[in-house]
Amino acid sequence: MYNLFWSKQRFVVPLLSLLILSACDDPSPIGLNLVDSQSGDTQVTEFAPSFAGHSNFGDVTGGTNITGAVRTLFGTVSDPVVGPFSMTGYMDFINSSNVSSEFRAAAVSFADLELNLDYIYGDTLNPVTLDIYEIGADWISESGRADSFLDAQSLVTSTTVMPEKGVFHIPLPSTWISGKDAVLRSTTFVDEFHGFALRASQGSAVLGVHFSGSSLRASSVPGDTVNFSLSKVLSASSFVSDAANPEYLSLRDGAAETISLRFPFESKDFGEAAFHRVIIRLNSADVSSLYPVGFERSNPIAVGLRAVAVDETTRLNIIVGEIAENGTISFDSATLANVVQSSNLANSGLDRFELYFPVESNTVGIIAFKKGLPATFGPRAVITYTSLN
Amino acid sequence: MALELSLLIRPSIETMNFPNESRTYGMRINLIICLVLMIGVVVPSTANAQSQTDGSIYSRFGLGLRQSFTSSKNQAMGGGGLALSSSQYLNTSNPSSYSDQYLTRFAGGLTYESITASSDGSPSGTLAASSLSGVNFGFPLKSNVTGVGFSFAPYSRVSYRVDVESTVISDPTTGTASPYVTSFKGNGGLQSLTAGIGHRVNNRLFLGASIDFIFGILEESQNTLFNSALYTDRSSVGSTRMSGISTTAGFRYVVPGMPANQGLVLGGTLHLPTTLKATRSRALVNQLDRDTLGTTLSGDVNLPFGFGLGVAYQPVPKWTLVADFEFENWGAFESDLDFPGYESNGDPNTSNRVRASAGAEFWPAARNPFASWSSRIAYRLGLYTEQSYISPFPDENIRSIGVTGGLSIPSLIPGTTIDFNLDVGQRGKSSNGLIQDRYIRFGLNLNFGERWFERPPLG
Repeated sequence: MYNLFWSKQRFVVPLLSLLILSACDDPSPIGLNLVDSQSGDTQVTEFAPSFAGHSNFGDVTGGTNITGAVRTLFGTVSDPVVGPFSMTGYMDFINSSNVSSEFRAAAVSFADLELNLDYIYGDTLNPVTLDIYEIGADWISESGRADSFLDAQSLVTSTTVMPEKGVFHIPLPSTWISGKDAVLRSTTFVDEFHGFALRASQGSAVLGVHFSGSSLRASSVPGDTVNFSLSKVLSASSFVSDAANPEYLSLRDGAAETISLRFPFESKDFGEAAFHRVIIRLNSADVSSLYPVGFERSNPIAVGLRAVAVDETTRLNIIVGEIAENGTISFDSATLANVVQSSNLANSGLDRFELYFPVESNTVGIIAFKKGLPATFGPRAVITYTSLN
Repeated sequence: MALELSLLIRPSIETMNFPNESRTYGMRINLIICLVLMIGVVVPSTANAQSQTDGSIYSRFGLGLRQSFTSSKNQAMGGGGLALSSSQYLNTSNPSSYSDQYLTRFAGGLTYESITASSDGSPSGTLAASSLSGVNFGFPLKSNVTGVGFSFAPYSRVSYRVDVESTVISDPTTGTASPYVTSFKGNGGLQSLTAGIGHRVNNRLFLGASIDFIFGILEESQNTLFNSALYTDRSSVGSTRMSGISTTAGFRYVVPGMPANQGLVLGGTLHLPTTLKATRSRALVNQLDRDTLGTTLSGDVNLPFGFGLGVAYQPVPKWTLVADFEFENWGAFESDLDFPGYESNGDPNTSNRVRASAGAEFWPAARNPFASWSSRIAYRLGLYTEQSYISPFPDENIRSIGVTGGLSIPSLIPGTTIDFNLDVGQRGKSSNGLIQDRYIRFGLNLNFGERWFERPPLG
């Protein structure tokens, strides 16, 4: 009997485990009337945020051949929506590691800029006159913004180009070549030469030169040309005059300012609440009819939303939303819900939202919002939340 | 007197003959492993409130459902046993019974509970979970004269879950409806850590007292779950921490003048009122992120006094009958903090808690240590009724009624038993907006006893 019983005791441990692990899971709403009186329901509400005009925070226009902007933009445009603006393009080059000894042995006799023009915004019927300046000091392109102007020392040359996509060349004058002969043949070229700035003095188009296929070329021996690859770019933006179309609030890619968006809600609107989903919707306007024939422009395909803290320094990129064919932009992400949640808890320091163009865009494209629309057509936020009061 | 004391002191198990010592030692080790497993696994899971939400909705109210596990024997006999004493069980319902020890005793148990809840017009739902019944430890300071006992057992338990499926038009533009589940959960409870001493004043009177450290966390949460990546699931969690020290005094009195072969013992306890210090905080939880909501509240929670009276009667050594009555003055409950069913500035839904129980034990072997194994199995039955100290509605009282039973199976180890208990009952009613719980509890208890702290015999 002892043996019989003790053999049964061996099942005690598995039995204990079974007891611990087993749990019938068939919950039901029974008892809801005993709990819901002290808890809130999940609701959906719509708010109409308002555009709060422009704020000065430049778009990211700097880049290297590894990261950031993929082209530099230069030229002047009289845009019917945002008004006249100009872009100054900066570019720097790096020497190749396998330069032949023959090139270093003889004086440079020829040099030009070979530029791959892959982007045009503006009048394609008339030529653009470009002024090329030499940059006097080293500069940083990574995370460079459109409000960053560099010190361009001296005019190297001027040239006129037709706004047509493709590779074009700008010969550099012999005076400049002879002055830079030693630098061009030096192994410390990168440290001694800081690139060019390109500005338009005439024409009404902004041109974009891509990293790919663009270089500074030099030759000291006939038939032996050395390419100095484009290594970093930056584009700076400025308004020629403040003559934007008053019917629209517009955001331009590559600009030195952005659009702010404010929500009218305060904590008292929700009390303590759990935010599950926040969707912000915008309707951009179709402004294609405002542009004349021969004005080449490409519509942006996406725009970003970021949160700005009251310190005006902290910014959080939240999400990039695609612009639908009908012009609707929808921002919908867990990060956005978390930002609004933190704002409701008063521990985020959120001041407003801003729209921005992603750095990958790297154009001067425009998105415009019609002013004075009723709330149902203007920006709005759809908020799913649960009251905790 | 000898018969009267049979209610108090079981036969001397150490006089039994047992199989070889090495095998007995191995079995002790196995039993200790079982106990350690029980405590090591279940106690943390009890402390981890998130895993314990499958109980009665009535546990939401007040400080939770009152718990009273005092020994597996008492539990199988209706839950009373204030006048009971046994050298084979540490009876923590009455500290005066700590005097009746000659073995060091270590006991613990698990309870598996399945509840089917129903209400008028609603389909029923079933939830089940296992939890720690309690852990006891005691030893004699002077054999059968003075002893001490320690116990860790739930004082109250909050464990409920109500899931409601709904939809919300999450996008008015498209009319998209999104399903979601709101899960109201409660978990946690108060624990009682007790240290007591019992002393036999003379052959008739036994006195005892204990200090009870009551502590714990009551947690209430509302989880909104969408099961969609488009939504962020969030939970609001309210936690109330409480702690305080209470005291209990107890007595047992052996009634003189009983006929031969019979024994009658009276027992009673008095739980003094105490104040728990409480703090309450709320937080919004999203995965690992936890944001505090509002400000932390502090206040006192005053537990009321209570008393219990019991009687144990042994008409013949094989039979033991008990009856008990317990009263807790929850009508005078006061708290600076509100609880479901209790508002400090309103009319509370509290009422005095009353519990009555009766039970019987049939132990064929009685005091014969040489009886067969099967005749040393004890059979127990009991019943109880209880009026809860709090109700969801002021004009309703929540009553429970149940039947208990159990088997105590002796092991090879002297003084050690394995007890299986059963408790079947119902709580509340399914009308007037209330819920009727039909529950079944299965208890598994290990009760280990051995001589410790002995001086080796001289010579």
